[in-house]
Amino acid sequence: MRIPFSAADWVVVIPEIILIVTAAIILMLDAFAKRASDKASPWVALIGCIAGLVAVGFMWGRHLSGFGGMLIADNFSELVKMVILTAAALAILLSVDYARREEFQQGEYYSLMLLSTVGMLFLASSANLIMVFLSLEILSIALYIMAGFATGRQRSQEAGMKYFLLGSFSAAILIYGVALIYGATGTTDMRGVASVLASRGMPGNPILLAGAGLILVGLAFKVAAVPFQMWTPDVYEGAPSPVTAYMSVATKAAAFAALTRILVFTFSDLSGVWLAAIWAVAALTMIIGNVVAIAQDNIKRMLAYSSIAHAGYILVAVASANQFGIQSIPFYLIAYAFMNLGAWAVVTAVTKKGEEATGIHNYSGLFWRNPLLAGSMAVFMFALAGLPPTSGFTAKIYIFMAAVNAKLTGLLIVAIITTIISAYFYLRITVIMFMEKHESEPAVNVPVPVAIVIGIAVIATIWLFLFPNSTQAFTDAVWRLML
Amino acid sequence: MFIRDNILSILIFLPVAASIMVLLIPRRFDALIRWFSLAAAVVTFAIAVPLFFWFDLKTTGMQFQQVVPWVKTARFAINYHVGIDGISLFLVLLTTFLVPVAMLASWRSITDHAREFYFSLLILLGAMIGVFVSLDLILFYVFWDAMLILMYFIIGVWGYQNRIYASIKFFIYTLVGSLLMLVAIIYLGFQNPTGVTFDLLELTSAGPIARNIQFWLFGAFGLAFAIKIPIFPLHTWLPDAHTEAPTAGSVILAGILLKMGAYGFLRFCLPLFPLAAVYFAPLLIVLGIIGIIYGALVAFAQPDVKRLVAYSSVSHLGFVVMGIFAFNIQGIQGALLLMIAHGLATGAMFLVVGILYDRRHSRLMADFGGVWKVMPVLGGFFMLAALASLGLPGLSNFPGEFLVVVGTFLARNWIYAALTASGVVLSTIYILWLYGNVMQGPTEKPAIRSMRDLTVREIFVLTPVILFIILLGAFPGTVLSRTEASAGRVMEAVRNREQVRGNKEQKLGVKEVVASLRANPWTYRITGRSTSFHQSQKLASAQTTRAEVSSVLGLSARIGSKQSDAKNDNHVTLNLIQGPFPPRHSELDSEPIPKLIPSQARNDVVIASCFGLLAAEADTAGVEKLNMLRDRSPSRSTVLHQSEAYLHPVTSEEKGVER
Repeated sequence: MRIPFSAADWVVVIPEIILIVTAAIILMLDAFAKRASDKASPWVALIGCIAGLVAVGFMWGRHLSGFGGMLIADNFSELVKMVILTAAALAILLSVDYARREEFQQGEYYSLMLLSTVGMLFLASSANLIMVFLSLEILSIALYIMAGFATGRQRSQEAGMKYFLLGSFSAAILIYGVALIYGATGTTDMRGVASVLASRGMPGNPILLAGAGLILVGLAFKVAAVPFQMWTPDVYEGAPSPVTAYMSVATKAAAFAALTRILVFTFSDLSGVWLAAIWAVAALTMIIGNVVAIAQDNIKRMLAYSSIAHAGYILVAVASANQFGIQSIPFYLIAYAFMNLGAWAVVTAVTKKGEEATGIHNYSGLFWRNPLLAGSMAVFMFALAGLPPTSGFTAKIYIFMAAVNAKLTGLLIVAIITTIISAYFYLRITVIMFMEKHESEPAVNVPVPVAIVIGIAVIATIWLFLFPNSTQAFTDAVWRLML
Repeated sequence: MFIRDNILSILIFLPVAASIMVLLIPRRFDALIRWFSLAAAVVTFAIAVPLFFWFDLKTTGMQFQQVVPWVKTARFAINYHVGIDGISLFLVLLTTFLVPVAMLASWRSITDHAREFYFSLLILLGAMIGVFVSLDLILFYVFWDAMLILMYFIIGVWGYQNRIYASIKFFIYTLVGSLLMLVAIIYLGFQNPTGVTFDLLELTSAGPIARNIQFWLFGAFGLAFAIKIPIFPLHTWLPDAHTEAPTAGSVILAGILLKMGAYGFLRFCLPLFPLAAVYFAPLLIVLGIIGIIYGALVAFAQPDVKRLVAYSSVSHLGFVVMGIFAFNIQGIQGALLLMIAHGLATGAMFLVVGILYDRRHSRLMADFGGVWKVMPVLGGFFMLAALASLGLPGLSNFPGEFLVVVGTFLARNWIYAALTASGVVLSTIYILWLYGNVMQGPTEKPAIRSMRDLTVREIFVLTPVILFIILLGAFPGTVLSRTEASAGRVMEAVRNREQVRGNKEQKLGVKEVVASLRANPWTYRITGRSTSFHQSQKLASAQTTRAEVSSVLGLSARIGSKQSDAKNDNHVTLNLIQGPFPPRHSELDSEPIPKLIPSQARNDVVIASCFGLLAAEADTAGVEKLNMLRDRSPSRSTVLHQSEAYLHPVTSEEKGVER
């Protein structure tokens, strides 16, 4: 069998190629010029990300597809890729001082980060269920290693192992689902499955339903939706903070891109069954994420549960399955990327060598020690809680509107109640930072790259609130091109 | 003139801009930070004052409006839409007045992180003005929450011992209410028959909301506002927040934040959900009476001076609730007046308490006694504030409380009025008890003897407040004349609630309307307002249209005059006062509408029936003129899409019947 590749196919994957080449350069540097690589790796990686962003920008609006329809570069995927690449760039900045302090192998660390980014970019472009599986594996394998990168620390080891074991399970489940779908329809192409479903009309087919269910499970694992969230707090806590920052944002964006695309492309006919499942998962995710977060005394664990909860809110938009919902997903992902990365950046700034000082008591009186840092953290906390004047508010009202529009009253009530609950634990951080005075805690000095990340995140969080239309062109285009 | 055209936006964003500049001043320039912030707040007040003079008394609608698109999506838009009317005018003025006072009051007492304190106060100032001038519900919510966050920090960071508990309680209480309100806002916006909108003017004019939906939405909005006022069982956050807040925070809480609940009822709940408002009124009135009496009794039992003043707010705000839900002009006017008066009088009380605390470092009544002898100047100010607070005629609170009692008497019966009035008596008891225990009696304690009288700064803080207390007591008419038109509009919305209740939906043409008019006598009046136009819609054609309307006013005048000499009720009064034509939705919102007209078609039918009746009266030339009007009308596509059917000249036969 001869698979014809043309030059046009390769155009589709230019950003991915750029990142792969950059990762290769870093590895080569590491092998042949160790000293230079220790200094230069982060900056090379950063340049790679920015070059990737530029490439994505050039591809905006082109609506390409390649490799026999396996990969699609429409605006939806480009938008998600921008989120992923921005998150990667910011995570690299976060890592500069951190990776030196923790004495990581510089070359390996940054090349792994780029390779996992490649996986995420592929995932955002996947229009074939096999591609979904492959890209999930690419991104996951790199992340497994990165989660356990702090070889000297037991918790990091545990995180890497746990993520690897559970991640492998979920990948197996996903591929089994793909196999069942193939068995039922004879194709793994997303649109192909949909057209088979439309022509044959097989809504009640048990094999098909099982396949759809298993795919949902596999992706729910990646977005950390209940009941597949067990790994999240442990992995987020154990993994190095910049890695957690990166994967809590970028993985989520990529996985939600895949989920949305499968929903819109493939299972829109099955939406009755599929949406009922998502409804339940969304409600559970919001409830568990927010309620358990209250009990956390470790800021990394708290943010882990918060990230579970936010997956629940995005799932509300998925469940609403209307134009509002689909449009609000990219906006939510963008807004969430900045506020969550910002929060993790503050965590990175406060933690001491060896991932010490992650208890929330370490934040007590932060306002009196470093008012700017505390002020930024307050912005991120209010944004995560969905309060104005932050992008978190805008993102949340989009979600609420989608739910109202889709008449998902029950889900909306859950979302509201859990938002109130979440206000409590986000508020708790601000209470500790602003209202408790502990002069005994040491001063916090923020490295310049981390400060840059925090600054970008604060500005973006408020900017997206004041001028939400700055992404409007994007999100509108997303909807038009997806149909 | 730039300031006049953008006055409300300047009032919101000037303090915000100033706050950012405050953050840029290095921390060591302590005095500069304070003076700069004070100057910014005073300038804001100075800009707000002309509003009082520029305000047009006769306009019932919104003035100084401004619309800027903010969020735009394929299906809906959120606008930055601001404007004021008589309800919000004095609240804006009060806000801009109290913030500089509060700043000056904390001149010496806030030393730790003063920069962030003044930063918060300035943003808070902008946010509070935003709450009072927003005409887009989402925008209102944004300011509402922003204000909440800032107040939370002011209480929690610069408050007294128990501040953390108080600030969290305040935050969670308010957030629970406001999130429910957010859902209600979104739901309301999506319910709108003419497309998703969050614009208050469009929503009020788009037609009545179904009865059962009104109840739910009133519940959600009402809960948020009831927590804020606070109405009796939801008041428990108030004593904690007021007591633990720094003086500036207490003054702003009592003076302004509490008014937002009452303002919300007047601005949103009554016009949007009149049926539900009337339905729930007995409950709210009973809770209001309980609040008046309970607040007063509990205030009397407080050993803590600040807590006593805090509970007195619960009692006074009960009056405001009574006034609003009397649904008559006296009650609503009284409530509005009392809101302003309470802001001044209770603000003054908190200032006095703050001054006492600064000297004695205690708020317990038992730690005071005989202060007058050592602080005679304070004694004088305190006396005036206390007398105003207990409702002495001639001072600020009296006219408002009096009007509320009159309104309650007219709306209910003498029992309610008597119970309401008992609040005045009870307030006399606890206020005099407070004053007697603190100021009078022998000056025994050595700590008291060493207390020094007011400094020049403190006299500067108290004098303007006391001055306004006296002025408001002497000339309540200045306020009432400006609030009257808007209060009347709120009242009418409630009074006309029943007409908007449709039975079975059914489309009617002109002929059916005329027939139904004959069967159901009703009076129709269009009160022309020129303010509800969105800027974007202010087309040139609208101007010409208005001119055209004045030329057909002769026709309407004929119909209007017909009513005066008619003995039977089967006639329609059309008072076409100058304004945009055809009247936009909002012009019709408070009008009685004949039964059986579906909400969506209501405006079409009403306008068309106006045309139809005009046509019935007019000759052929008049009909042509009306057709021309219709073609030029800026919103003909939505309003008059069925105009062909309506504008047929009514046959002479029908004319005969009509006559």
